[in-house]
Amino acid sequence: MKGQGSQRALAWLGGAMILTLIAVALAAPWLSPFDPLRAVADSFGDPFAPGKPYWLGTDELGRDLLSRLLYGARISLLVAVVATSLTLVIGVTVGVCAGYFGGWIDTLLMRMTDVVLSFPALLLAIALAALFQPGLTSIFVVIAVVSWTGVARTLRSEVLSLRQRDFVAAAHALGATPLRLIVRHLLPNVLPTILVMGALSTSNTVLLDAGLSYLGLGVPVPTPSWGRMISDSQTYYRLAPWLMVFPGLAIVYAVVAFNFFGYGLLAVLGTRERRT
Amino acid sequence: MIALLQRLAWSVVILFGVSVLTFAIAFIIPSDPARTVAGPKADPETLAAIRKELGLDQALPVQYARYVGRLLHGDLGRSYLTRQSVVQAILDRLPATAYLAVTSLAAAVLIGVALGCLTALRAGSSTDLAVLVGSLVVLSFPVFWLGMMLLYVFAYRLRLFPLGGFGALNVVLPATALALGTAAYYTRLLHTNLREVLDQDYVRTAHAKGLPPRQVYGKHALRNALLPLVTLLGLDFAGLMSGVVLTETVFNWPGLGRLAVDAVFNQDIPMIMGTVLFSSILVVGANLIVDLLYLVIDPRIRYRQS
Repeated sequence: MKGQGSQRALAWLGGAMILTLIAVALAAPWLSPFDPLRAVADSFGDPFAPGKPYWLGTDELGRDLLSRLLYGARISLLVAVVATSLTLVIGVTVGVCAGYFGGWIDTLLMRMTDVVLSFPALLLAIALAALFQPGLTSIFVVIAVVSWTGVARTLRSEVLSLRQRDFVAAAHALGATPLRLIVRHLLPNVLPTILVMGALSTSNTVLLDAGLSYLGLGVPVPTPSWGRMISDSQTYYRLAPWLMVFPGLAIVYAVVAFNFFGYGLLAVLGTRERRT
Repeated sequence: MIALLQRLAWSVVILFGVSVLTFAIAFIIPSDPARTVAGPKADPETLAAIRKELGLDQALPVQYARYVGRLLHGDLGRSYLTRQSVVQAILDRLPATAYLAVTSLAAAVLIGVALGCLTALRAGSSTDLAVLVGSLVVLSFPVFWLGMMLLYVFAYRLRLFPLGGFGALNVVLPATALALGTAAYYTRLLHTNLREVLDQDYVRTAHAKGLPPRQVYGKHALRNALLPLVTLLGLDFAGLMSGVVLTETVFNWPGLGRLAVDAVFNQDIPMIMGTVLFSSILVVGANLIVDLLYLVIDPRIRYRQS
């Protein structure tokens, strides 16, 4: 089918975009033409427009924008990977436990999920971010605490339907302990779902992190972060629109990459499941 | 009727959880609220007096009980900073946020439904792919960045709209920034739903018995495809409020979001608790309304439960 082929292509494209992003982040020290933290141009208060040798221009402090963007990829990816992993750990644990044990455990966990879901994520995140010391660890925790609900709900319904299957009953009859049953029999079956949820959560994480940085609640300065660069550009956007445009495009690139990968994968896996 | 009562009881349980969580958040905030009120140079006696006045010297369960008691009386406390009543501050800002949110939601639904229908009628897998890719790209825009770009292009460069301020013309840019992501999402959803519905037997029957296409699409297909959208409206409400916080910051819009962000920077705990609590009450309320609406518009649910 043509439709399925194009969705497969979308997943591949997203995957390639993610790999490129990782490569760029890892190679930032070699790719960056200048030091991202130091003023390299004499453009204090009067940013240089894009051109040679500052390909994307300089900021109001005379720092090279391209170098800052490349280093910004590192911090964005770091937050994306760690915060998403935490999100998945919480979400999968809650979802699998609720789906597997059922009864009052299920009710309690799902009610907790509903409570967290009724907070606007960003609002809860800024309230939480205000109470921790600013830093990377608090960003990881804050993002995970507000984002695990979707993963938990999806995993719960997945496990609920798996529990009806014969192989679970068989393992149970053979005397498998709950832990063994979950780890050896259930988790391998929900792995594709976890992969898709991971990709989609990552795009959410990048956006949430950018929003927090924009509000000044992200990684503390002077670490270059894309969201912070956009909020810093606000004073200069009439004079130097490139300071706003390029960091935004960097965020869009990262989010699009994970969205393409996640949705492409979802479509491919969805059709595969329907066939079997 | 039983479904209705169950739904109401459910909302009360959620609200109880919400109050526990907001209370916990406020208590974990490490800075000393009394010091925020008194200022850094206050002597210990003044601090103790303020603590007593705010009830901060009591045990936690007592503080929580008092907190819920006040909540039930519609009292969210006073701002540590301005001593203004939190409820009053929220009510003052609410109309601006409602104005922005309703405008953008209406725009999102209109654009989403229109584009979703148009693309669904142009069946073909290349259209499907274009809708999927296009909506994914638009969904990936950070709302604050989109807002700034719109400001730069349409307000600063083209001078079509004012740069800031509050009014009918001023709402266009922030509402657009807020609406585009949601509109993209609705477009894809409606497109997919309509494509599925158009394949159904009853649509073929409607065509076969000679109904004009207008009636087939409008009455038979669209109605069914729109149902899931209604549920989403409720679920998306929380996301909308998140977007509101960022959009209001970009456009300096005098609403709830700005109030919350300012409160966070001032460590104004009652104000933070108040705005967070109030917006989650709005979310719970929106979901309740959507569920009730569902009972009205989808007869299948009513029949199943009676």
